[in-house]
Amino acid sequence: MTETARPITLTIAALGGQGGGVVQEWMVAIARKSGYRVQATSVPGVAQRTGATIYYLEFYPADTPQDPVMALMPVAENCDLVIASELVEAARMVQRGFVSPKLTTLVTSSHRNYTIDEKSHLADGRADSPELMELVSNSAQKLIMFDMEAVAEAHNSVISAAMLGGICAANVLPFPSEFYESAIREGGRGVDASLAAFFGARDAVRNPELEPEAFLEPLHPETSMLPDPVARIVGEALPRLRDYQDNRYAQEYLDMLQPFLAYSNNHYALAAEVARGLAVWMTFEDTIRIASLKTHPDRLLKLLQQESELTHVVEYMKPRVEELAGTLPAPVGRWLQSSTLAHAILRPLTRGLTLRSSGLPGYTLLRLLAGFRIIRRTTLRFKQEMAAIKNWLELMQKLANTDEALALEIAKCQELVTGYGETRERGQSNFNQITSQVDVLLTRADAAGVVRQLRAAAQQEETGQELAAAMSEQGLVITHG
Amino acid sequence: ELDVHFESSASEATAAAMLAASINYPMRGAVTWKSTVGTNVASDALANLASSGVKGGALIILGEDYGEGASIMQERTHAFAMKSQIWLLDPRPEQTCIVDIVRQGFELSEASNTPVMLMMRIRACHMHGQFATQDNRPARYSAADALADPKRDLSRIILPPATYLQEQEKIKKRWPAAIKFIKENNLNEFRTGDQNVGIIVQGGLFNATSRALAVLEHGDYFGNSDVPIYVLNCTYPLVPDEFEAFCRDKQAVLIIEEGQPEFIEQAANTYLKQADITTRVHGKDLLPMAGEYTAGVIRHGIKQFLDRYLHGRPSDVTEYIPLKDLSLSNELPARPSGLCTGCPERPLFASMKLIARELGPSHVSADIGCNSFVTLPPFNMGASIMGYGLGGASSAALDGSKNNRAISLMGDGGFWHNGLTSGISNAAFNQSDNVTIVVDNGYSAATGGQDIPSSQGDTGNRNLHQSISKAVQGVGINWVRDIKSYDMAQTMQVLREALTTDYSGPKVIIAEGECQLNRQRRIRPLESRRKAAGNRVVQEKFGIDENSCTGDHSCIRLSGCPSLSIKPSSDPLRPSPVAHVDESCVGCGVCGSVAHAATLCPSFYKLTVVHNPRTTEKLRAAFSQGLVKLLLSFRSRSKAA
Repeated sequence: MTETARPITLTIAALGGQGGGVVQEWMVAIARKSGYRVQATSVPGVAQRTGATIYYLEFYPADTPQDPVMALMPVAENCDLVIASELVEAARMVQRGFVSPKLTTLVTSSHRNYTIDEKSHLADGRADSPELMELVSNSAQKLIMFDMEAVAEAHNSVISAAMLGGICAANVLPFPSEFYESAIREGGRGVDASLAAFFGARDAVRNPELEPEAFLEPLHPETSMLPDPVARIVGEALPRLRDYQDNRYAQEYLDMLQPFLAYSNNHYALAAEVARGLAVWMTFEDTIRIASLKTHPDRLLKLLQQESELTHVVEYMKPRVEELAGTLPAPVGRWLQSSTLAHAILRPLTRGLTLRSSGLPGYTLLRLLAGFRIIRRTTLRFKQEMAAIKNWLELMQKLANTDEALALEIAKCQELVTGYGETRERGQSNFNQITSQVDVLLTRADAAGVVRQLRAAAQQEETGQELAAAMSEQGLVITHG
Repeated sequence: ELDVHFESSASEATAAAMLAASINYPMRGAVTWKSTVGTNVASDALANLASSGVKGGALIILGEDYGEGASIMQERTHAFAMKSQIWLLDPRPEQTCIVDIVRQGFELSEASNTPVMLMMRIRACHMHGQFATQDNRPARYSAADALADPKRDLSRIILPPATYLQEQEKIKKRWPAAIKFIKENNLNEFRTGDQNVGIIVQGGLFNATSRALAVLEHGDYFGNSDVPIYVLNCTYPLVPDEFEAFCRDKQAVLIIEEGQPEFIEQAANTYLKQADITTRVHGKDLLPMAGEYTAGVIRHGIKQFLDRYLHGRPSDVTEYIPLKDLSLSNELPARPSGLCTGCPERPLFASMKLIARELGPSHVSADIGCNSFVTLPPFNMGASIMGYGLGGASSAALDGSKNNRAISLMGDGGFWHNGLTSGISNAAFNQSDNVTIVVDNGYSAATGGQDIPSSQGDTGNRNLHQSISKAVQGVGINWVRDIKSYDMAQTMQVLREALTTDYSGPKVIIAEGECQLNRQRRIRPLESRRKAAGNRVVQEKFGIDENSCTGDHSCIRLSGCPSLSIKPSSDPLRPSPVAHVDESCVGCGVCGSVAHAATLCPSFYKLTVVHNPRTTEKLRAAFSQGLVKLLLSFRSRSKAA
C-alpha cells in the first residue's frame, strides 16, 4: 500500500469554550480551498461545558479516483498531527495512544488550565508540569510547545487563533500559509486580533524564546550570619514583619527562630521551615493588615492605572464579630464577644461591606483602620495568635532533640492554619487535632510519616472527613474541642 | 414554499404523536431526538403508532447517544425497535449513504406500512463532509389535502379487537413486505473479498471497521478489503436469506455489533442453525459485551479473529485496554464538565451549599440539564437524576420529615417538558411537604439556548414570556417565592425559610437568572455599539489581591467558576498557588457575593470601569480619586526615601 493512499489526519484536543470548533471550521475551509476533501467530526454536548473534548479531521487530495472511507475518530498510532490547547490535554492524547513516536507531530500549549480538583485542594493539588512536559516530549516524533494562552492574551485574542498558528507552523499539513490567513479573514469575527494571535503563535514556534534564568536575590547584610537556606527566607521575612508591625517585631522573630538554628540536618531543613512558617503566622491577616494591604500605594495606583477609562475599585469585606472584637484591646474585645448588646450594635457592620477604596471616604476609613497598628500588640487577636505560636514553637523545640524529622513535619503543619473566618478556624482545629496526637505518636516508629499523611488528608478536603478517616486508619482517637 | 410543517415540540411524546397524521393520510413525517432518552419519553405514542401502522412514510431520526461524549444512561435503541416492530436503519456514516437511506427509509415505511427509525451515532451527527444533492420536491399530499377530506378507519384505532388484528398484520403482512423491500432495494451491502472468513457489521460501524482493517493491512483507505464484509444498513428486521448467503461456505464470521445484549449475533446463530450451516459465528466472545466500539476496540477484536483463522496464530484473547499507562507520579487529573463562567446556577448552588452548612445536609434530587452539574465538584449535591423534569417527582417518596425536607431541582426546560405536571401539580395534589427549586435561566440552555415558553426574548413566530410562577400557582401551589439567583443573601434567606417554615404544603422557589452564555451573546454587541455611540456604559470585572490571598482556595470550593482559577504564588514564604480571576470573567459578581455570604475572605475586589462617564461623575471622581492618588503617591515617595 503506497504512502499517498493514507489520509492526513489531524486531532485537536481542547477544552469546552476554547473554540476548538472554530479551529475545526477554519481547517475545513483551508483544506477545501487547498483542493482537499475533508471530513471533520467532534463530540459535542455536555462534554463541551469546560470538559475535555476532541475534534478529528481527515484530509484527502480531491482527485483520488475512489471515494475515501474516513474514520470518525482518531485511531491509536495513526495521527499525523495532534494539537492540544493545554498541557494535561496533550498528556491525555498520549494516554489515549494518539501520539506516536514514529509518526506524530505534537503541538501543545505549555500552559495549564487547572481542573476543578486541582483548584479545590486546600494547599497545592496541581499536577507536576515538568513531569508532564517530559512525558509529552518523549512521546511524540516531534514536539512543538509554546504558551498559546500567553500568545492569545498578548494579542487580545482567544486561544483558538494561537492554535491555528501552531498548526500552520508545524508544517505537517500540505496547505499554503496564505489560506490560513484568508480562513480567519473570511470567518469575519475579531479578524484583526485573531490574525495577530495567529502570527504571534507562528513566530513563537519559529523563534522560541529561551526561558529566563532564575534570578537569585543578593543576600541581605543582616542575614549574612545565617546559614544559606535559612538566610533566603529570613531575607524575605524581615521586611514583611517590619511592614506588618515594626522593627522590634522583626527582632522578636529572629529571637524566636534562634533556637532552631542549632539543628543543621538536611541543610537546616527544620530552621528553614520554622523561619517560613513563623513569618507567615506572625503576619496573620487581621483587619488591620487587610486595611493596610488594600490601601498599599503600589496596589491601588496599579489598579487605577490599568484602565484608561474612569475606574473605581470596590473592596468586598465581611468581618464577623470575632474579627471586629479581635481588632480591639483584649479586655474590650472579650467583653464584646460575649455581650449580646454589642452584637446587636455591630450587626450592621457584619452584614458585608463594599467599600470604594479609590474614593476619599473609603480610602480614609481603611487608612484609619490600618492605623490601629499602634495598638495591635494589645488586641485580642494578637494575644490569641501569639499564644498559639508559642505553643507551636515549644512543641517543636521539645521534639527537635529526640526526633528532628517529626519536628519538621509539625513545622509544616503551619500550612493548615490559613484562610479567613471559618476557613481559618477549621484549619486551626485540624492543626490542633494533629499536634495533640504527638504524645501518642512519639511511641511509634514512623511518627513523622504519620503526621505527613494526616496533614495531606487535612488538605484534601475541608469538612475534615478525610482527616478523620486518616486518623482512624492510624488508630488515633479524635479529640473534641 | 414546499409546504412543510415544522415544529419545535414540547417533548418527544408530542413529536411522536404528530406522526399520527401518517396513519390515515399518505402524508410523510419525520421527527428527531436523542435516544434512548427521547425514545423513552415518546414510547407511548410510538408503540401505538407502530400498532396502527402508517399510510404515509413515518421516519424517526435518532441520535444514538452511546459511547464517548454521551450524556445519558447507556442503552440500545435496538430493543425499542424490536419490541414495537419499528424498523431500524443504521447507515454507513458517509453523507451519500445517509442521504440515500433517508429516502429509502420513507419508501420502506410506505411499502411495509410501518414507522421506521434511523439511528445516527454521536460523531456522525456532527460530521462535515460532502454529497451530491437533488432538487427539492413539494409533497404530493399536504395537511390542507388531509383537512379538506378527513378520514377515519376503525381498524387503525388502538382498541380491541383492532389491536389483535394489528399484531397479526405486523407479522403476516408488514414484516414480509419489509424484508422484500430491503432485499429488492439492496439496503444492505455485500463487499467482496478473497478470504473465506467474513465480517458482519452494523452500517454505523463500517468506517471504523474499514479503518481497523486498513491499519491491520487487510484493506485500504477506500473501503476495500480482502475480508468480505456484509454491511447491515438495516439492523432490524434482519434478512435470514442474506445471512445464509453470506455465511455459507465461510469458515467463520465476526459480527461487530455495538452495545448489549447481542441481538444480531443471537439471530444469526438461529438463522444458520435452522439452515444447517456450520460456519462459526464470533462476536461478543472477541469483542467486549458492553461499551463503545471505537476503532481501537474493533481493531483489537478483528486482530484476534484474523489471527485465529488467517494467520494460524493462537488467539490472544486479552481485554482491550484503551488507555496507556503513563507512569506519572499522580494520575492525570480528570476534567469533568461544569457550569460556564458567570452561570446563574452557580450562586444558587453555592447558596444551597452554605445553607447545608448552616442547617445540615438535605436530600437533593437533581434533574436533567445544566443544573445536573450540581452533582459534580465543587457542589457535590444531588443524589439522583431520573429524567428530564422528573426532579420533583423523584423526591415524592422522601416526604414527611418536617425537620429534614427534601429539595428537588428542576430546570425551566424540564419544568415545561413535564415537571409542571409530574412534579409540581403532583406535589400540590398529594400535599407534599418538600421544596422544589425551578431554575429559570430563560432558555433550554444545556442544548444550546433554544427558546421555551418562559423565554424572554423576541423571536417573532413563537408565543413566549409565559410565567412559571403563574403556572405553579395555577396548579394549586400556595407557597411560591420568586428569587434572583445572583442575590445570594435573598436566595439563602428564602431557602432557609422554605426548609424551616411551619407551612406543611409544597414549597416552590423559582430562581431567576439569565443563562450567561446567551446573555453575553445578546449584550456584547449591544454594549460595544453603545460605547461607540458615546453612551455611558459600565463594565465590571473581579480580581483577587495576591498578597492577601492565603492560598486556601475556599472560594473555589464554593464557586467553581472557570474564570476563578489558581496561579503560582510569587511569595516564597507561601508556596501554595493563589486564587486569581482570569480574563474570561464576565463580572457576574458571584465571587464577591460568595465571599460575603460565606464570610470567606477580603481578597476580592471589583473594578468598575465607566466608559463615557457623565460630567458630574467625572468631576466628583476627579476630586475624590485625585486626592486619594495624591496621598498614595506621597506615601509611595516617602517610603522609597
